[in-house]
Amino acid sequence: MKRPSVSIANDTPPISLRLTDNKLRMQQIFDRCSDIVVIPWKYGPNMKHEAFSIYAETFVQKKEHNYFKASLQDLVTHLVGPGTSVTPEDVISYFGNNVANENSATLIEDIDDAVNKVLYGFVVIFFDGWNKALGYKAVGLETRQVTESITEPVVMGPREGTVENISKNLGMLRGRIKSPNFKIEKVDTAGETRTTVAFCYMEGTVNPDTLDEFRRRIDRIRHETILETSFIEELIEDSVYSPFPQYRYTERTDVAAASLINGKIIVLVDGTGSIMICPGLLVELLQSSEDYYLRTVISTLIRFLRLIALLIAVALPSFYIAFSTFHTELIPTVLLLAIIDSREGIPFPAVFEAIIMEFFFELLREAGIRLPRPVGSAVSIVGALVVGEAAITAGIASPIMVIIVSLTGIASFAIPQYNFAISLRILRFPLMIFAAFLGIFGIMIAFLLIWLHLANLRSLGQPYLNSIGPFIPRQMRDVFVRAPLGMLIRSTRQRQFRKS
Amino acid sequence: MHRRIWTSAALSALLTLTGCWDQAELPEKGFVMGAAIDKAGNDKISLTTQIYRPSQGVTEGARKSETAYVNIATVENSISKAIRSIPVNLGRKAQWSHIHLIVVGEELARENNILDTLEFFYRDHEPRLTVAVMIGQGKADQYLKVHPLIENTTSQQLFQSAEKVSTWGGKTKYANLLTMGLQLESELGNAVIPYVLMDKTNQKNIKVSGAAMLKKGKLIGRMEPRLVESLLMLTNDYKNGMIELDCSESSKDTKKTESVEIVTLNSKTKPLVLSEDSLKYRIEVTMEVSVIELACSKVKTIQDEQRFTSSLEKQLKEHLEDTIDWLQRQKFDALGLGNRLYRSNPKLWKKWKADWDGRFARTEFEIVVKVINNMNGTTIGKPVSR
Repeated sequence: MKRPSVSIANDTPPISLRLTDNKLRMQQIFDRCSDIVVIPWKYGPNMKHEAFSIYAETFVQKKEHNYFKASLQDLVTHLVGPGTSVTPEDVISYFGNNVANENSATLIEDIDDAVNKVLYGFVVIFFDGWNKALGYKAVGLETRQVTESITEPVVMGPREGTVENISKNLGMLRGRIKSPNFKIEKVDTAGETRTTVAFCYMEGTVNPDTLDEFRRRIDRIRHETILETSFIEELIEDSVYSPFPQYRYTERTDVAAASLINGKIIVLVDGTGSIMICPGLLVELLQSSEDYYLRTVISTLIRFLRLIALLIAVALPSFYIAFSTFHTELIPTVLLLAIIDSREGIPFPAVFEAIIMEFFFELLREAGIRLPRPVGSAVSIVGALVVGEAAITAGIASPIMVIIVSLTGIASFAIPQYNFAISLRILRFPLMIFAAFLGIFGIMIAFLLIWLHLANLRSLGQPYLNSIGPFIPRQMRDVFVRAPLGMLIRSTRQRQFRKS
Repeated sequence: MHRRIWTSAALSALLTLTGCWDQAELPEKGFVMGAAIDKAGNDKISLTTQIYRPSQGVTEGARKSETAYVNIATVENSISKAIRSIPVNLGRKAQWSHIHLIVVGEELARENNILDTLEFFYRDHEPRLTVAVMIGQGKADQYLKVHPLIENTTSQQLFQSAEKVSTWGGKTKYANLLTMGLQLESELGNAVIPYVLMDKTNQKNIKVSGAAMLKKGKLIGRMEPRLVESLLMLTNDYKNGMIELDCSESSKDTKKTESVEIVTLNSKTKPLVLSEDSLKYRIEVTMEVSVIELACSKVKTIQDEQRFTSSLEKQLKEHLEDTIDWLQRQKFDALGLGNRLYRSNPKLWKKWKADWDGRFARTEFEIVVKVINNMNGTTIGKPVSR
């Protein structure tokens, strides 16, 4: 007999007392899902009581799926005698009252919950005559080992990279920050993927306004299909079309832990190892975790190097175009003669030559990412040969242009954050166009426009140019120089939360 | 959002209206390295420009047979017209921003005011005021036609020659458009600029030695290198150099010379008497020297050193006095005394300006030379007297 259905807002049908009803319903829901198997069981005196277990065969650990037997064993050892004497009443009274059992069974109240649990990797067992079901957690997917992160290698420091499983990642983080102030909030998204999303922060250090803003934005996207952290980034960021990223990414747990201590919110998504750090400010995009593991003088000098690399990566081709076509009087004579020598006989104007060479370099870079490993080294040699030597010998490109393009490429690799380096590639081309039309004046205008955009940009409500824009002298310790750790850490401990 | 996109699209269309300003590709320009200005017949001016010729491509051996420069000669009524007809011969517009040298021919310098001749270089925005100027003996364009020894172009060689000789030898006085213009436009109006001539023995060598004297912009004569050296000492322009002295001992050794290097030199000029009928100036020259070569003196004891130093002082004083005598005979105030008088006492200068040359010829000079011997080349680094 069916219990009268309780009216719930989203109308989840309850589990029927009759086994065949349940079985039919589950089979209807999982129609044509050939990896969801239904296995009927019989138990009890004379084997006349029925049950069935349903689970996803493909990602449940093989050795554990016989949970039915395990549940019976629980009953046998705790409550009743030999296995043949178990009755449904025993089952109901034992499991329904949540008596301690060996395999941590969970009670399932309705069909939707049962469907969810099967999809999450549980083994769900329905008993005839009982309007609840049992679920045993049995996920056994293959996951990657914890290895060094490929995109963020470092010379000195921990090499623990994140894996795809969110529980393991959270475990690694919890192991680094052993404090009850380290809060982890899980967000269950809807959508087809129903991915688990978690965001973490340090209570007392994070800015409450930022946290509220973040929560508001996450609530807005709860029903979206989230596949990766970058989906979240695009859905909650302030400016989608800006070339500058407003959030940082990392695949290393020590970087994530450090950013948590600095008062940031980090977001993890099940199924991917990228951790998103919000808010991300411009000055942080030029910092790398290695700065804090090396000595202070070296780190400061390397930061200067990165600033220069930033300028070179964005503007070197544009400066070359501007100087060689508009302002030749500014180049020293001997250098100018060398440039003239190399540019004689080249069929293209400087602009087109620069754009073509940059384009080839970008092609080379894209090709290099997608190479299968056996072909990898061959293509890099071919690329160097084609773009470099042959083009020069054929008279299509000048040696000075090849030098400039390679310097630009190398400089862009010196920037620690990958998504920031990509954005610089976008900015390079409009700068070249401006330089071709208006010389140095054009470059100045383009830089002004970029700064205007940066000054307007906000990351989770905070101004993007935070330490430079609203100039905060106290934070200058960590922007262009890296002050000794004594000075840096002391201030973190002293500040509780601060409106930054 | 849409408005922003449309606004930026409209504004970027403005970029195409600029007409590209003064953009020109590098191969469209001919970079002038040096210029030689001469007098041609019929009151015309002949302008020879030395333009850098880039080597074609990077292939080796493309350069070896050709020179790195090409000389274009144009003859017109004025320099500006001559410049405009360079593309007629060359096919590229001349770019004057990297010019290093201007040589003016002797004949042209004697007849025309040099500032009038070079007015284009002063007014135009492209050439710089740091271009070296010199007067060339005979025709000026022959100096651009000689092959350079090491440099790419002869202009570079001459310009560097003038600079280095002036700083490290004291045999000429370096001048560029700015300093020459300042000298000529000062109250006195006398200028001293380098002089270049062909080596008589070897026609392939050109020497920058001696100085040309310009009065009111016109060339009036040449100073020997020896005289220029003393002149630089008197006007506190001497930087470094070596001077030779004759042996101070007996006459049978007068052929030998000894050398000293002057490390620092300072000179001060002070007027002693400035009256209507007599002028007297006192010039003190102090210098630190290091002994380089000794032929007959010895510097082993303190007395030796003192003797050596005083003989050096005596000889230098003689040289300086000789130079001043020569200048007074030429009636050419190269010491800049007129400018000093103008600065200190403009009323007096206004009275005397008209016949200053005669007054300069009658001026008395008291010269005091003080030599400090700094280094004898000993391993302890100090001379005996210290």
